[in-house]
Amino acid sequence: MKDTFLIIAYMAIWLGLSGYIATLAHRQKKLSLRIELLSKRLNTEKESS
Amino acid sequence: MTLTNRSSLFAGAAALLMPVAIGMIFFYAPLEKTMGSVQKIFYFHLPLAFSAFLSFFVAFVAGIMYLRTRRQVWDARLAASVEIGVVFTTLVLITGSLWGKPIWNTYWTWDPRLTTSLILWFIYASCLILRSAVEEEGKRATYCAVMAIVGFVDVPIVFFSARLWRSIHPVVIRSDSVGLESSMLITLLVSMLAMLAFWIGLYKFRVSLQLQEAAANELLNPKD
Repeated sequence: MKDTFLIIAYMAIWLGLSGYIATLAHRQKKLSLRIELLSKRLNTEKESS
Repeated sequence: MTLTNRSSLFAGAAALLMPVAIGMIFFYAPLEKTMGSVQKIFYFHLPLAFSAFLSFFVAFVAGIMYLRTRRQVWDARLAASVEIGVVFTTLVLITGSLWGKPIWNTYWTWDPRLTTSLILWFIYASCLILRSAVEEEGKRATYCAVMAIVGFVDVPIVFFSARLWRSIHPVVIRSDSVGLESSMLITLLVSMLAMLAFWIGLYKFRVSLQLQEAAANELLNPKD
């Protein structure tokens, strides 16, 4: 019985922390896409001027 | 060395220390006499709690520094530390409840330590909600800085609650001694070190992400 709580607690810790890291990685990916979009926009502006 | 490189350095240290800590928890630290195996939650419950306190202390300092200097980097540090602190406090509350059920026969009781910890979670979670609700950058940073400074009042209250009031929550670190056997104490210190390395890596990564997002936003939507 006590072992079950121990296992659930450790699962909660690792799922929680890895879930948070995954969220940050997703945000980083979204940011990279945004930066790509930005550089494309800048290139287009340069070419048109 | 860039912020992301330093983040990788600490993440690497955490990746090395975490398996060592887990190995020590399960193969080196002895079983506690009355609580048995479930007591092993403690070796991550306490480091998570201390890391959460560290987060809120950094948020408190960053809040003061932002109000004094109005520099965006302090707002980024504040946002990063509050977010990490809320994640860690959530895990402290979850692991505490899971530890409490087999020992106290309840997941939750309105004990001073538990109640003040929940209040701490509410304060900083509302700071995160506030961040997403206020659009104007300057106002958002100011409100959050004030909230992080005022909210920090609860951190010493949480720490001393089990000492000041009648509480069923155990007090491990006392002013004159640490209520742990030496092998348990060594395991706890290794877990603390692993969690601290993890916290620093996470914090540096989160700050760099916050700054990059702010820079990209500014370039995509330039102010007149």
